[in-house]
Amino acid sequence: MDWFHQFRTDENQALKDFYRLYRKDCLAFIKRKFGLSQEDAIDVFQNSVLILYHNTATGKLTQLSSDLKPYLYGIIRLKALEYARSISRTIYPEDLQTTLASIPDSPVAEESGLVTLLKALLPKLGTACRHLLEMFYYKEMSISEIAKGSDYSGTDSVKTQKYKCMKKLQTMILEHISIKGREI
Amino acid sequence: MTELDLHIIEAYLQERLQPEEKADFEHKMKLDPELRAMVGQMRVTVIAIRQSALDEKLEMLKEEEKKMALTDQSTFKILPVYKWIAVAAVLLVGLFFLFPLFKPDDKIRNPYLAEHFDDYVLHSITRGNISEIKVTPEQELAYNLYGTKQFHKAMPLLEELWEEKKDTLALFYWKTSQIAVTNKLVTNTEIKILNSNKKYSALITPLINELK
Repeated sequence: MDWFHQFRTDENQALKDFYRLYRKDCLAFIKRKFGLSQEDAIDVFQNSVLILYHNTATGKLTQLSSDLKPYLYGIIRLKALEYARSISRTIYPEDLQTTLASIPDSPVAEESGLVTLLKALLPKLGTACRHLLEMFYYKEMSISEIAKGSDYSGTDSVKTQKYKCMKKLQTMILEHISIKGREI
Repeated sequence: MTELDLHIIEAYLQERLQPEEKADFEHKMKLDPELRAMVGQMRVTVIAIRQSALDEKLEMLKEEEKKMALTDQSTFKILPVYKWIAVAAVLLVGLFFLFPLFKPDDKIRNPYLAEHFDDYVLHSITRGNISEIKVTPEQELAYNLYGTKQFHKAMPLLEELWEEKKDTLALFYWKTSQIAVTNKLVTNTEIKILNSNKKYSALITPLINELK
């Protein structure tokens, strides 16, 4: 099965299919090889699938000489070892703390609070806006790629819509801060 | 933030600016706290968008896991029914064939006792008329079980009669029963007790000699 094609066509369905297909073997492998419990093995497996998804979604992984299974097992090995060493249970591709600490004049705690706020506000933006922002800022697709693969009339339309979405998000942040300020 | 601001900030964060443009932008940031704040906010927004996307996928995987765990459980619920039926069937068949092996064996193992068993049923009258002598119902039951060679049933009753009522006949039957089913010697103390009774001593001695 061409998983790359599946991910491009319908990533959510592909991700579910991928999860179901490899779950049993991978959980058995993690438990046998690393002596983790079922619950921990599920955590490792989910994080590994998530990393694989991240690498395909962001274009870090576009093709493989073999299928995705050996690649997934490679991630699992690393994550299981990491888990066993209790380095981290929540795995994000970016190290948030390091990134935030690198921002000048922005205390980590304050920025971390802003991330939490933004994550809470993003679903309120609407599916179309979220999807567009994800394509541009998460998957780092170009404006022309987005325009080709969606219902937008052209690149200008994508740019305008993206700007509107960002403004809407900014307004929501300001509104939230204003409400909080009145409460205080 | 204008659309142009957004465009430049994005280009800066995605490292798409030329070296000169980048240096110029960073110089502006140093001088303009508002621009610096916008860049900081934009950077955090991008992180939040990325994390949000991954969180959404993780939630989806967790939902999928729940569904699969339920499927596993329902499979687990169905399987044991068949398994238990199979296990029960195997146990029943096994018990049917194995039961005779574990059934208490009342066969007399001692050849001498086998030949002379009737001599060891020491009633003053014949067993058929046992109800005519003064025996308690417990004694009657125990003696009859011994007399019909049901040693395993008789032994606990005989033991009880000896222990509680010091019934020497019960002691004799009890020990004879033990020899019958195990073909082993009773303890020296018990032999002494049996020998102290002349009636039993004469009978127990050849039996013990057979065992030696």
